[in-house]
Amino acid sequence: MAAILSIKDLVVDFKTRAGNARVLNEISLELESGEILGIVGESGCGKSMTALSIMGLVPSPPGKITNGSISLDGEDLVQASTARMRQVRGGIISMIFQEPMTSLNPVFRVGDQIAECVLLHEDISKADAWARAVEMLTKVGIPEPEIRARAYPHELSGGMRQRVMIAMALSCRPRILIADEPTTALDVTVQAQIFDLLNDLQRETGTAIIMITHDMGAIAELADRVAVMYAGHIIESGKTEDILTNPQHPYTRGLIACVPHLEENPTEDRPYLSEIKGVVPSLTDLGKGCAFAPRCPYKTPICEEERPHIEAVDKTHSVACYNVKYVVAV
Amino acid sequence: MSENTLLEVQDLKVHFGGKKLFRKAQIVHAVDGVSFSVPKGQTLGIVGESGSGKTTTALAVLRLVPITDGTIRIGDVEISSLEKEDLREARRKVQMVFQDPYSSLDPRRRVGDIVREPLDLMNIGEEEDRDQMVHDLFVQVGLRPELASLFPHQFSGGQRQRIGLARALATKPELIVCDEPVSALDVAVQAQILNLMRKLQEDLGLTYLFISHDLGVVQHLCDHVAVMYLGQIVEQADRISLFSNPQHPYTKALLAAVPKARPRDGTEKRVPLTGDPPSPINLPTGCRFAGRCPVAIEKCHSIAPALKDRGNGHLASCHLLD
Repeated sequence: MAAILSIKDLVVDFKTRAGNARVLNEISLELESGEILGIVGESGCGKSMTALSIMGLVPSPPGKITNGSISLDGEDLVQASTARMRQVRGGIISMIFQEPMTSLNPVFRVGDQIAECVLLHEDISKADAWARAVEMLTKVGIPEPEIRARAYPHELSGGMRQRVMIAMALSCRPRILIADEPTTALDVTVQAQIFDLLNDLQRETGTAIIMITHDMGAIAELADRVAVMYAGHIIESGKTEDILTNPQHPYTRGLIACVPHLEENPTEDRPYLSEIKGVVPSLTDLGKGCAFAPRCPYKTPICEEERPHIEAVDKTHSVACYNVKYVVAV
Repeated sequence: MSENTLLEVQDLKVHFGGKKLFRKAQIVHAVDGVSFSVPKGQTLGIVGESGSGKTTTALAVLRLVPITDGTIRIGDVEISSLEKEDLREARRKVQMVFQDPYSSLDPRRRVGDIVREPLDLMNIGEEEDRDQMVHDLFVQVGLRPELASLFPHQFSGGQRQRIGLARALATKPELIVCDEPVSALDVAVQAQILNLMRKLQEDLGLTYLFISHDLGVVQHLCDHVAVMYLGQIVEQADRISLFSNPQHPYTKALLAAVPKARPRDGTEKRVPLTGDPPSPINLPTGCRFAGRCPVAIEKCHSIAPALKDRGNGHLASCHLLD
């Protein structure tokens, strides 16, 4: 399948008082139409910044895209005009955010907020836009959509609000949906509902989804492919199955092993969790070697000398690590 | 109460609200008849969705919210009937670690002073020894003691949660109430804090009341688990029994909703729980879960089920189990 979005060597720098912070360092990603791509990593690894770069929303100043391209069907979004980006945002690429309460406007009815998005992008009457809003609310599984469309955000629960956000994001039939931690603020039962909804909508509309999360469980539920990020780099990418069952990079392995996964049949035996020692490095002071080297149990002298490039280990699986073979053998 | 029990809560009720001048009184039944006990040196986990009353239960144990009814005993002290200075003294034995390490530390005070404050307030040790005690507490939670003169904003989330733990440990408490202590942290940091909490428990014989919505974390850390729904405990059992043999439909739904960190194979389709919990103001008659329950029968909507022993101390409240 052809890639509808391809990011090449994207570099984003932030000027800070402590110096230049390279928040994205030569990121390359491809999104194929109709797939769900997961991006995982800890806070500060650059996963949200990747999303903001695609949307043309990098706060500038202090941020700046200093290199690379983001091409949407051959059109470079980095070079696109402000007017063109306004068409792209919401029309072709739309985004849902982590906190549904702060992303909705508290003084407008949710139906009006959805209709506003449709009116901006399509030549359509107000009545039709409202009808579309109600239709979208039906689609995302909100009961009594005609009544709910007239509700204000504070009258809805967290799960309902996130459904409204999804309805709004999909109202102009975008080709790409970016979901930035869409369920972190929600309960597990509601999270499960949202996952099922995203899965169903994706199958129905064929929208490609970029799912940003720190939760490997969410990745396992939804994503077809995964990119793992650390300190502004993509350090591993591949099919979800490969990443989860056969992670290659020491960081990916640590990330999977340190989470207490729910077992169906727990035993008395409860070992301590495996830890990734140390803390995430400061982006202003990364050094020239591999960003993970100071915390890596397998590091060799070259790791501190030169940054490893991401290379394919097989057709669909790539890793940025010098010691892949050695790590696998252990 | 058995000799080994440290915390015993009986029929705890916490209701908020009351008479309004021009409106009908609206009472929020945040906690509505909760009983449990925690043996010394062990951990009880309370799980549930937001609004289930788990945090209010935790706060009530420390008497940080007014108790409507019920008794709370810590050791041989009935903390629920104490007032003023007696209550303050009793809190020496029970401390709390909060969810948000960013807002639970005073941004204007040096972290050493934050950890020292309970020592001064509770008059623990000689004044000149207290700096050394702060030093020891820092070492205990894995922080370099030189860091004591810094301010909270100079620390990462994980380090701040360590400071929160050091502050809680200062008065040498027997019980520590932890309200979602790791949910604001990144997974790698979460593992470090969970391991630290286990180590402290082993070294100091601490008892934890652990509130969380993350079932994986609860399964890892807790010896006993209580599942709360709308102010009541619907199921309670030891760790192995609860996770391997859940009885209540709500517990089953909760467990099914947790994403598994292995690739989906398409064969398993969970039965999602629909809707949201009902309002704790206008409680439904009968079983509180009946409205969302996939297996509810007629009786569930009219008669509230009792929390009964289903064998080996595994408690559950559901008509279908009777």
